[in-house]
Amino acid sequence: MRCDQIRPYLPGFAGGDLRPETAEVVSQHLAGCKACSSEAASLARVRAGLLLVGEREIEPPAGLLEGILQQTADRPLRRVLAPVLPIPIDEVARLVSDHRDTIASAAGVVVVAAGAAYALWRAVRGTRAAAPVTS
Amino acid sequence: MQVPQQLVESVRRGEPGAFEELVQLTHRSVYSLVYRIVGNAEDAADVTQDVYLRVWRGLRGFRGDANFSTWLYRVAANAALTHVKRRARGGIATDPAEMPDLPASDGAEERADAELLERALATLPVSQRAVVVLKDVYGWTCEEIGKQMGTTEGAVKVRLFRARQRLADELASAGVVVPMKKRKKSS
Repeated sequence: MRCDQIRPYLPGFAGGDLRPETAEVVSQHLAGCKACSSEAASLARVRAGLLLVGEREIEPPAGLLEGILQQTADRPLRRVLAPVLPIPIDEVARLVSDHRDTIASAAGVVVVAAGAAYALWRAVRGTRAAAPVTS
Repeated sequence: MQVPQQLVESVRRGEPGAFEELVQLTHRSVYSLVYRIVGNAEDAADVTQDVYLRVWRGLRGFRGDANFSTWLYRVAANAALTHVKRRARGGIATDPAEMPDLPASDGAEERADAELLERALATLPVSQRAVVVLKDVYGWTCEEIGKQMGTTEGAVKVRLFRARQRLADELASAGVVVPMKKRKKSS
């Protein structure tokens, strides 16, 4: 295979993320291509460097620790509506906040469905009212 | 980040001082993960606070048989990803110049690469950054990342490969590796 066909696979090859048969094709090409081997070595170096990134800690801003402890001290574990809800009300609020788009979409669907049902009901009732009464 | 199981149990039992000890032990690691995903210090601090609120509320539901550190990182990644998703709607970019000073390296070549890469991560689009941080820095699988981000494994790999390529380009532009365009073409 040509270099331009192999190169898109090199970032995946560097991380061992390719299927074995694809990795084998790339490996065979690298054995005979200096340019692509050099590129693969650069990507392998990126991978090795990223592993070391995880070992480093970024110093948090001053006051973060105190802020965390303060906010949890202010909010004792509450189980509001415990007989009804299996989780605390705060957790419900968090779930609503995290999934507000989904909830908004679902609410939209419910409103549209209710509107359609009402319109259908009105149409059916109007048809019945307009129908001639025969005896 | 290693958290003794005994400490986790103490926190779950509500023993005085246990939660404070847990936060002291873990908040730097959690902040670092969150920072690497959200890309700026102010948001990372806010999200880290939110993480510990979630932990505080969720600890009673935490199953003792799971690894606490893994669970904590998962909560942190979830909070960070939710945050960047919201920020993405507002189109707010991150600023690599804001990257805080890191601890001094030991002089080894790999350590220098890591410092350069840490800064280069901040220049990536957030979707690529989140993927490469979780996969290559924290060792998640593409499947786990896909589930967490609500996307397919294939989409995760596309972002991951682009991110690695961009990081390699950053190393090249910093003169650490030979840039592709200067290499001799072959076959």
